[in-house]
Amino acid sequence: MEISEKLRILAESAKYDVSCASSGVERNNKGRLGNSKSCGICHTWSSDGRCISLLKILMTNRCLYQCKYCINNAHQNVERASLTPEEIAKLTYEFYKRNYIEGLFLSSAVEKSPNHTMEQMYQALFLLRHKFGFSGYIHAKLIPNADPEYLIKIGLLADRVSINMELPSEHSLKQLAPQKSFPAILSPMDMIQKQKNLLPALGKSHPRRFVPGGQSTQIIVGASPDNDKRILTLSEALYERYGLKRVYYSAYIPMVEDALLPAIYTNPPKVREHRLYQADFLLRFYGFEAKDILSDEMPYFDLDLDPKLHWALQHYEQFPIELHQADYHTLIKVPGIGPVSARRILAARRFETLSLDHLKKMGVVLKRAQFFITAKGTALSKIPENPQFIKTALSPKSYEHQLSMEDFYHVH
Amino acid sequence: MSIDLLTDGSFEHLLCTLSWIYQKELVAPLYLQKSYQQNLFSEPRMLPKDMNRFEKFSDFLVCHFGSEAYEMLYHLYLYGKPFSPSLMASWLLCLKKHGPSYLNNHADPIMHQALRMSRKVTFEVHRFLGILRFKQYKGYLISQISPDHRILTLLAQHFADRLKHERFMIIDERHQEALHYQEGCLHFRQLAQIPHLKITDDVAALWQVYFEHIAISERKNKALQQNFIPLRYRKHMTEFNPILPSTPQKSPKETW
Repeated sequence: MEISEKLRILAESAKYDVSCASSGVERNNKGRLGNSKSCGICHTWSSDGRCISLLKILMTNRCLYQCKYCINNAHQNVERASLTPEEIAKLTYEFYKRNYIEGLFLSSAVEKSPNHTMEQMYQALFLLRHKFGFSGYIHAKLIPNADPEYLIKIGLLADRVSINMELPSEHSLKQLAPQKSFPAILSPMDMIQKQKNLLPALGKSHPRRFVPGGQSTQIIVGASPDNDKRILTLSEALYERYGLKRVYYSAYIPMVEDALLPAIYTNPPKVREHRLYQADFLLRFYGFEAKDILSDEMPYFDLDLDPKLHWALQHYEQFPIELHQADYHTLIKVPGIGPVSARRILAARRFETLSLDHLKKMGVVLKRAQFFITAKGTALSKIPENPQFIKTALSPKSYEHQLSMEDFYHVH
Repeated sequence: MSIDLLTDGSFEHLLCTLSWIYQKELVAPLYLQKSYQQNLFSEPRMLPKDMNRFEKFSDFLVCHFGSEAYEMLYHLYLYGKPFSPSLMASWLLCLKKHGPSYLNNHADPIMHQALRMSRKVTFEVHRFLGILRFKQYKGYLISQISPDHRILTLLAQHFADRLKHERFMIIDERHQEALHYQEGCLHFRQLAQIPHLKITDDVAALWQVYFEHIAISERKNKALQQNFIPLRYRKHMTEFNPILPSTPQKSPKETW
């Protein structure tokens, strides 16, 4: 099979993996080719609007497993292909040299056995690092149920590793991915976390740091009936317990017919996925906890409002916030104010009394923030007593509503 | 009669002139020499270029206002058209009056404008670290770009480290400048004219196959894609331009 055919098939198979980050590792060129920037670099954007930073590819899509949601599962009639370790290393090297990519994201279906697959992946990474002298970014996907020995070997070559959670509950996993289990996924995560803490103690003489970019995971949204609270609580636990750098969410696109899955042609839940990412950012950068955002009474996101605005309306008694006195952590809890605009407010309020015009220049989203702030005791716009008014004003449905003659009859 | 200060367009001369403005606290209009139009009411004046004065004033700025302020001044210089030396002068006098902590005050119109211009330059540098494409040509990696600002000097170190064992050249078509790297040495050149190179690269075909098939068709969103890569940047990006193989008979398989 031609290399371009293999590339086509294996890119198609890898495209549902969400992770694309190349950030978190700052390293100068220690080999022949490549370095890494801690901010990460996006190299292009595909026609679905997602960034392409790494050469995201499977080693093979020939799979033993029967995960019901997966297009590559053993029962599916799809084109199959495999790349050799040499081909993977050479492709990465040639693409990287031309600045098409920031590095490699190597994943694989489980061919023959988890250990065999991990051995092939290790060979590819070893060739890339040692034969081609590649010093750029590598993200490797680990296969559950493989020997821990591979985890260490690959962890010393890769910058980031990940094991996909896939589904947010043990029950869903048992139903949709019978060969996977929570312990088989969580125990390698735990081991990576422990090794990461242990290996820096080996000192500078150790040739490479163990997964310097940390680990991440991915959860599929909408393939199982698990609610948003369940997903967000799981993410929070993963961040706290295993020190994960990122949890990615993937809106499930129905490709496989099964009674346990949403019907084919059901639209992927993209807004729900978007709300999960927003809530995830609130957990990581805004000092929120999962229980602040969703509760047992309200286990799903309000799809019309972003989670911070939703939280602010639920806690309306804590507002308005005085811009000239509030600290950074209070400022970033105001809808429409993010970390960047909060820092700008702190820098500017020492010199000026802030106005709406100033805030606009600082990047504050006034459409939302205006209802929640005061400057030296003065409200910058009319603050309604009833938060329901804000909800109605900011809900996208209010914009979509088209005026009809009936609306005028109601006025009179 | 009032004075109009002129600068020759180099960073060194600009800083010499700014040091004079800083000392005298003189809010004299500052113009680029080649685009200056003389009028009846002012007298043009050009201060001498003194490298000693340039170095001393550079050190002074870093010492008093920090490297962040110095970098911002350099970004304002690279911003290009419209070249606004008068803004730089006002910006510097503002900093002198209020101190280094005034640097990030977005509520001041001058500081806000300077911060915006500097941010545009740094954003474009970051964007080009990703979207710049090389093509293999006679043992060289060649890249052609058309950035809005003169960012070549800010791209240099990144690629010199990343491709330290390669030979490469980045040509800025818009500003007619080129960066050349070979065996650890970087050279900048002004170009009298832009070379028209017809470069074919077989690996490009593989990249195009990958680029096409990594997209999820069910989530197609061209508007979002265009937000990230505006059309004006696509001229030199391999994935948006069909590339002919080097010879009609050669397929990617044979060359691989």
